[in-house]
Amino acid sequence: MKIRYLAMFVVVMLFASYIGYREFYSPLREEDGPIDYESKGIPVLMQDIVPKTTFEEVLSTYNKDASIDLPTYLPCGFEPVAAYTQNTEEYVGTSLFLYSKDGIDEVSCVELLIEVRPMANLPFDPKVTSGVFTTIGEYDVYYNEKASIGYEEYVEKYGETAILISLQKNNLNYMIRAEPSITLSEVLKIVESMSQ
Amino acid sequence: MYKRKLLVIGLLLVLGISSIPIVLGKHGGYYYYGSTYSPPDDGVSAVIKTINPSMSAGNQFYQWPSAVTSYTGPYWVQVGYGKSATTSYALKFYREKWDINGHSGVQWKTVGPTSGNTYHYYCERSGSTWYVGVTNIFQNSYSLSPYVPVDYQAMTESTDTALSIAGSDFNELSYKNGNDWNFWDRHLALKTDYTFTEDGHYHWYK
Repeated sequence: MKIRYLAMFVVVMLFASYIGYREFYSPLREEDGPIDYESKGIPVLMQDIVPKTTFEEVLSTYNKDASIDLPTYLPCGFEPVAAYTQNTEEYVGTSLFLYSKDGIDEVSCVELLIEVRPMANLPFDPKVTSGVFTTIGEYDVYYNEKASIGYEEYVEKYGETAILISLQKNNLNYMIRAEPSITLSEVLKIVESMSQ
Repeated sequence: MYKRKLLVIGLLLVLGISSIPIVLGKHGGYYYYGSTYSPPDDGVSAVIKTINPSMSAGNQFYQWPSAVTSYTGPYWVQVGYGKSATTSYALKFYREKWDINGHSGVQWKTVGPTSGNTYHYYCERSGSTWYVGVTNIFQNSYSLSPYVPVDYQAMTESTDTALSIAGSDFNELSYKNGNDWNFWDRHLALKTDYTFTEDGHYHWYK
């Protein structure tokens, strides 16, 4: 009996040693060095990739099969001001729609931004993402009232977070970013108007 | 007294230099976006030849592939190599992400590439987990929100376009679709800052 326990102990120890050895001597076990929070290797931004255009121009790039929903309700004073798109005759990529009450036409710091992109499902995993998952009308919805924003111009104007709502319908995803003075109830009202 | 004055002047100089804002964003390279329901949403990789440009203090230099998960944030995940004051201007590998939970910072590794050698850099997705690494050297992971890419980019980035990036070579730019890695079958060039010689969709150099 004792030999049996001893054998089991040896096997367990050998296995643990093997795992430890693999972990310690793994060629992928490289330690992290310093972290630099000042530097930001920011990818090239949308406004540097494609020219600024109008809502009408961008909407004309979507055909009937891929028609998109835009809000019919906007908070007081807000108007469509500019749009950007990767769409061509051959491709459907990402489009950005900018709404402002102060004529701001920069993606980085516009008050209300809607990003539309082809996507099969909500791009947020409920297992690892805090926030609210729900449905509104035909949309699967995720929202977070304190989403981190990286644009420096945005941070200077409104602070480090935004209300972010992601909507999913018919293989299109809508990502709405609203600066914090726009209330959540106003943003939800915008969403409800999109499905009408 | 004389020494004290020198000390004060020295301190002021150091403070003045360190308060000069560092502006990144001098880019050169390519991005990939696809047809409906793409780009293929499982990863991006590149074989990049290491260069070690000389540069003055305060500047930064990076070469990387990156998966952009949204232009709203903007949100992205990235792996590459570079150098800055933080690395004492020695070449090091790094990884970085920004998502709705915030910025990771540039997470430098303790190791770096050797100038003239090529390395395989990758950002690869499994569910909401992105694995970033350099083949046979390191791999780390990020859990990202949002996690689905809308674009891939491969760029040279610096604080100064006067910085020479001769010898740059990005090759075998690939996207992952399911379990398969395929070379980029289209690309668009960024029209600013640095320019490269293009050799098909998945190779460019300078």
